[in-house]
Amino acid sequence: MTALNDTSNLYKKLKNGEFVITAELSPPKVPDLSRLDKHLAHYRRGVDAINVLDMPSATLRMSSIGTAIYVKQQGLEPVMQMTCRDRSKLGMQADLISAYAHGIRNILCLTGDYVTFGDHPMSKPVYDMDSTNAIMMVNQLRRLGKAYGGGAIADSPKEEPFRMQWCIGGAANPAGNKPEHLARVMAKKVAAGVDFLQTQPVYDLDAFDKWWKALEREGVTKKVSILPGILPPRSHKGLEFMMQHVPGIWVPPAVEKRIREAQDQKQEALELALETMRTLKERYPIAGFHIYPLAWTENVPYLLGELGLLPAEAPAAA
Amino acid sequence: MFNRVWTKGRLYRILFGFEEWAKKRVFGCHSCGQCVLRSTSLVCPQSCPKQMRNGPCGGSMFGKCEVFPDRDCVWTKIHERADMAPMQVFDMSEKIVKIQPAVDWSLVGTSAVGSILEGKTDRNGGILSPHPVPNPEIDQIIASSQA
Repeated sequence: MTALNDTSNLYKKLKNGEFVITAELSPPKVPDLSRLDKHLAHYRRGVDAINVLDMPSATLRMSSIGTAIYVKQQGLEPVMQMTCRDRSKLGMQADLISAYAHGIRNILCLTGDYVTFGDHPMSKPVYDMDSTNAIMMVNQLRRLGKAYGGGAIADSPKEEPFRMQWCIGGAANPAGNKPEHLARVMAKKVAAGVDFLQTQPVYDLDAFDKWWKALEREGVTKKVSILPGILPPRSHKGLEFMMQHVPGIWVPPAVEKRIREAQDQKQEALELALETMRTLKERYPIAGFHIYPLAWTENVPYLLGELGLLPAEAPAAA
Repeated sequence: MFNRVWTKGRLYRILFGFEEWAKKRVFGCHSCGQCVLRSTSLVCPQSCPKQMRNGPCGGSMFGKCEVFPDRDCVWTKIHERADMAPMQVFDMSEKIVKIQPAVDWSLVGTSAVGSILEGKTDRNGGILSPHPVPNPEIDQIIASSQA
């Protein structure tokens, strides 16, 4: 169990400049946590932290806090994703305190996909704040021990405010809009106190290059650890579905054509992911990778093995 | 006396009614009561479906909205206009990199001009009272106090 005042291993690794790997885990819809075990088994080696999704595409799932507690109990390190879509400032902070009490130390602040993408389009989107303000809120809890409303995190007025040692993450999209505009938002997130940025899946290396240079001009790359996202699609059909239904994913026509015309689409996608990872690692001082294996978590040990990032033995459970 | 006339009286209702009517027609105002138009290139950020105060979000693609792909992204418009010369009257190139605080819901549905006159917000929509927001320069303040 993590000590109350101790920060996360991920935070320590990032500050030491170690190369880290994070991977995503989608919580189940059925309230049966044992369904996660086979995925977690693939993450025991090589993966430093596991991102627990908070209802991706606004589709009903088990909550990220509940799943993150389970991941923690299994001796792995979760990154709890927290969207502003479903909870107010009050609700988000209550969940933050609960998660901290259960030993969760990593948080990824997201604005969240809009409700109309999911299975509850009739639900009320909350959006009490955006991701930048959420980062600022967590940073204030960390640095000052003060809630958003201004009150101290203390049970009595005499008590010293409790400073929660969060490791704060943010999301970034390297493609889609003008790099200068995106870099300004990232600079805001850095000012708000973010420690690491995980990007949307990278398929377009030219767009990534322009984005990275814009970030360099804003001085973001030096202040924050950047983990480019890697998503090997299962098939061309899967890629097409994602392009149409998942917001914020840009796949250039050349890449789409390559997957479509391949004999073995799954293997081709993995090859593409490996090529992208090698190129990114060579060209940019990135802090690690963020892998989106979707339901096929066995791809993670494969990719890490091919890149020589897979340690021989699983580390002892923390 | 002024407070009574101002907060409950006709003067407030007339002025707020006019402000709401005019801003609705010109800027598509959503009456958040803490007007940031001067910091967002005169585009109302509340017209964003996610009501982002610091955008664009990760789902906005090629200047189009994530939720309504036929609409233009509000924040792309704000960033593009911020680079234009006329917007420098409002120092937009400086303000565009500043974090805008989240909406204070105790001010929603009230007059933004009223909020400025009462000292609840500054002229750029920064919230002064009754609920001051987290300070974006927390890290710098701590670093300077330790140095």
